[in-house]
Amino acid sequence: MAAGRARLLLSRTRSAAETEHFEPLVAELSAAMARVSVADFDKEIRKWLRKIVLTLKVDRGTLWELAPSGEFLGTCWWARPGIPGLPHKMLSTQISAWAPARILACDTVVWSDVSELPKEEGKLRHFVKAHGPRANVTLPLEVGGAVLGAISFGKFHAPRYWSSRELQRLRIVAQIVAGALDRKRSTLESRALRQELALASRRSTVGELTASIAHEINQPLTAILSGLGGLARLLAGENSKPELASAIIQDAIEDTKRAGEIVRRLRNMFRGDELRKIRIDVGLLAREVVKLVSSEAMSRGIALQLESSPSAQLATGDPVQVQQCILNLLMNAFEAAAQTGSGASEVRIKIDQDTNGRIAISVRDNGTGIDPSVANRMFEPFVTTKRKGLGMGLLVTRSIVEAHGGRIWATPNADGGSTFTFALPPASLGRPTRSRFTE
Amino acid sequence: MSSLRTTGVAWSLASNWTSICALTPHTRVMSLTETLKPIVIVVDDEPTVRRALQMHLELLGFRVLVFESAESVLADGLPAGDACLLLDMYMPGMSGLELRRTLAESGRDLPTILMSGLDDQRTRRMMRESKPDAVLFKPFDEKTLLVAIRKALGARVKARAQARGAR
Repeated sequence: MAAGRARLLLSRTRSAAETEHFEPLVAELSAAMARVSVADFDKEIRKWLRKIVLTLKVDRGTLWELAPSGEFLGTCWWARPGIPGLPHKMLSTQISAWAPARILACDTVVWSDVSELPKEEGKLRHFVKAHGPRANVTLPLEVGGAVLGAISFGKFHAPRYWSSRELQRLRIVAQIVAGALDRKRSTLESRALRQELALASRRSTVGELTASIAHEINQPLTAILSGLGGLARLLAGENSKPELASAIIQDAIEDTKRAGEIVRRLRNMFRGDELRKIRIDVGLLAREVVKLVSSEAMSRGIALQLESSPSAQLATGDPVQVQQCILNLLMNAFEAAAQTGSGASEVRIKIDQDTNGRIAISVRDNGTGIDPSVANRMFEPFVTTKRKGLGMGLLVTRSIVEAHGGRIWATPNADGGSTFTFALPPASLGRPTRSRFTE
Repeated sequence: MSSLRTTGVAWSLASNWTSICALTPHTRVMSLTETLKPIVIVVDDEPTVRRALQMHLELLGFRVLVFESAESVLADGLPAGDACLLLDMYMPGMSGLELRRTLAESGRDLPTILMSGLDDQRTRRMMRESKPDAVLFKPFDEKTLLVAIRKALGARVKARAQARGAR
């Protein structure tokens, strides 16, 4: 025990010198955390845990996030080689409820050696003696009085004295990391909300299309049913004509595939996947949406035309969400074209690439044009001129387009009606890259 | 021969031809029996539906003419003799209902079966207003198809008999 105390005294003098290196590190951390993106958060935190561990000459640094269950889960860590890695969660309550409870109460938990742990925490002392860390500091990550998580640094095979100056610096570190964690969480939350809204809106739009999509599926079903009816007649007759029979079967196979393809397109639109940005061929996506709504257009007596070059028009984006934008604009255009004064209703969708490589998708109708009473507010929530509309379509479309780093606008046509256009950034050259979210 | 064609006979006659029917009668010189077969004129924009209905109806003993659009019916003209229209409601360009109206205005109103892949209130109302001889909602089986055709062809024979009786 005496040897231990001597070492502790020695570490006290060492610690003062290390504080000198710690000061500039805190300033750098502050700058780094201010500009960290959600996608890079974990990587960046790990980098800084390492730097702090090395500067403090300890062995392991861990970031804990408070889960809805009330437990602190280790989400990020760095440890020197040979040091135990990340425990899944901070001390299970079977060992000790003491440390997590103090963190939740916004207290810092510190021990320089096992002997400083409370006498009544026998199980904890036993655990720390067996697995470490022998010296430890755990600081709450707190924003506005709410604890979001904790950050801890531990030394495993020797005691370590934590000077009040060091603790003060570490509290600043905790504050900076807490701010970044808070921003990451609210970004994820707002992204999840936007995703949910997009999905709900997509489902309601596709729901409106149910009847016409059923129509679309009924076409191949009609051909299959009639074909097989004919086949039954053929096989019952005297001359079974094997060539004709095989042609009927081949047709039935093709039609069944076609029906399956319609169901696949439909299912895609109902899926609520995470936003994924990949290389997409906008022309191909538009053609799929056109197929999905072609029956709807026909039953409304609208001539629907797609103009796109046969070569791929590549952009970066989420295929389902980009299709949702095209679908929303098309459904709006159908509604507008139905109000056309005279002549045939027409909707034209066009895909262009501008000189900067941006892919512009425009949907043009020959309706009565944009109602001046909503012209300035049409991308806002609950603004609608439709009899049954919720007024979410353009809002969701805009939010998707903007999350893709794109732009959306509307212009009146010289010869009546209006054109809605959105432009997406082009696909990056070479390998598809993972996008950065810096909202 | 025309005396044979009283109500219902057209169909039973057609079904007797099943075993001797030609699959693609219009590609060959028509035999006398073929000219007597009732004609079903299929108008549908879906190639696979056209193809399957043609094959099926021919195997059932009908003469079949197919058109891909209402416009092409008007351009090519309709055959003489007993015939009925199997007409799709929704097609790009002129709709089935518009074709029916145009034919009626030019004095050629054939017995008509309206078919639709879309089954909603609006479609049903428009169908009712057009007063066809029968309606079919896609997809339909053979029995339903034959009942509709019999109804359409029978209705015409009945109408003719009534007209004769009135004279």
